[in-house]
Amino acid sequence: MGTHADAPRLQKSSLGVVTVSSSDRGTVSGDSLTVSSTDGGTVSSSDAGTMTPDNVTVSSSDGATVSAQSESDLLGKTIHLALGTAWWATGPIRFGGRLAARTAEAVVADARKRSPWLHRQTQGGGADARGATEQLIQSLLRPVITRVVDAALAELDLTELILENVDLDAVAAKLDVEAVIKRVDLDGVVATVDLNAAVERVDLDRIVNRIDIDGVVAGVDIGAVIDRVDVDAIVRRVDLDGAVALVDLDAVVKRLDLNEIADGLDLDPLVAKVNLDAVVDRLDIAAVVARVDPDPVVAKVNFDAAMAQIDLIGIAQKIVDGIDLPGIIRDSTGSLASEAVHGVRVQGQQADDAVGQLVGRVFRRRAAVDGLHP
Amino acid sequence: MVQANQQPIGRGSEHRPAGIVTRVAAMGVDMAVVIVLGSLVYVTVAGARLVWSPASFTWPDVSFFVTLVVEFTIAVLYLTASWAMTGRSYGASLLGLRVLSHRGSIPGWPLAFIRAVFCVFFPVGLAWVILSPERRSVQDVVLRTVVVYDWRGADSPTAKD
Repeated sequence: MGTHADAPRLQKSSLGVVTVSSSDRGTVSGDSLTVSSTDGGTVSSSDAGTMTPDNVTVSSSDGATVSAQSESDLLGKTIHLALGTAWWATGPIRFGGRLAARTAEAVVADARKRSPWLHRQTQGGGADARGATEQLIQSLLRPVITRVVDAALAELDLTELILENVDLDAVAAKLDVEAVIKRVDLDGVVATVDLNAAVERVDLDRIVNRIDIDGVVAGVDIGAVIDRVDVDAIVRRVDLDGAVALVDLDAVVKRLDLNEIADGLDLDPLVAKVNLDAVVDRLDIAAVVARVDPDPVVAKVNFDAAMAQIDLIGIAQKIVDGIDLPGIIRDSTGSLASEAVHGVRVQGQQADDAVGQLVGRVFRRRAAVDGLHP
Repeated sequence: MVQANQQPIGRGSEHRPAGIVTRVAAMGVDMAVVIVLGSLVYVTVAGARLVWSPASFTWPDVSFFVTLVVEFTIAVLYLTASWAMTGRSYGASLLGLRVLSHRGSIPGWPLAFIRAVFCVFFPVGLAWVILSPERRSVQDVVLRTVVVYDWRGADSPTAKD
């Protein structure tokens, strides 16, 4: 099939249908294209350039001529010719049938309106009759329509046709992409995807090797990331008991240099926070002291140095001041003096009584009365 | 003389009249006190003379009469003050004795002074205690006073005549 550069193009399908198209996506005018058939028929370009006869000659005003020769098998041509002829021949019959059916329906409907009896008799049956008619029509026309559509789809390159005749950019501009996306059931789509298989097909090593991890990390604001991390929630979710149970603490302790750790510790702030009173209250001092062997401790004590640092004179002075020695001496001497005085008084009183009794016996007075006031 | 708020000292068994032995002992102690006081007066006078004329200092040559007068005077003043203030001299305090008026209170200054003079110039009157059933001396009989045992504190009796 030869074509001119600006001439209309001709395509002939296996069914013998010739399609005329123009590269400038315009229509082919009648003065520039002449289609003639072997049977002497002439088809103008306004007939969409499609003809069913076998031998078609297409010529344009600029001299381009295309001859469509029958190359398919004879049976196919015969069938298509018969179908075309039948379709063309039955056109008036089909038109008359449809007209008769419409007329019959109109007559029946008018009769039902005029006759109540007929209305009752045909109630519910009109739909059946109409349905039967439609079913008959569909049974007759469906195969024909199906064959015609299949033949058209086979002959037409819809993709090429759409690309050449449809302004896809304008169509895309009029599309409401958001509405389309909203109508898409992404969950359903994802559910149908075999993600495992998809992942297995991915060469992750290659992808990772292509990533500039240093550059990515340099661009990350680690501080902001840490601020957004809820560390408390993470810690609460961690099974610390289980984690600790897995740790071999003995091995860890053996590897630690406790002396070095102790040298680096500032114990003063720690000790300042310790409630020593509470610690001492919990200690069994008696048990601790009972376990102490004082002899080695005492043997190591330098008592001479300890005594040299003690102000014994000052301590003695404080003791004497606290004892109130003069008061003690005064009280003791006073008690001694009072005892001596008491003894002198008792002795003197007894002597008085003895003298009184003696005088009483001399003067024959009763001793009991002596010394007492009358 | 008894003040309105003064209460007489009781005369129970603990305030029995004192006998001759204790009163003589008390008198002896008081005599020693008077002698010491007289000696202090003598030393004081001698010290004054030493200060006044150290170069010509000699111990004072005191006659017996002067000594007797001075000692009597010291004794009267000492006993008057002791009896009027506490009802007891040092000797009486040591032996547990106290002088009371006929109302059972501490003697007043006049009574104490008269009794002091009487005792100093007539000490023999104390011997009547031996013969008196109430153990009163001549001074007690004349002045209606009494000397009783009182072993309590020196200032326990507050009443005065």
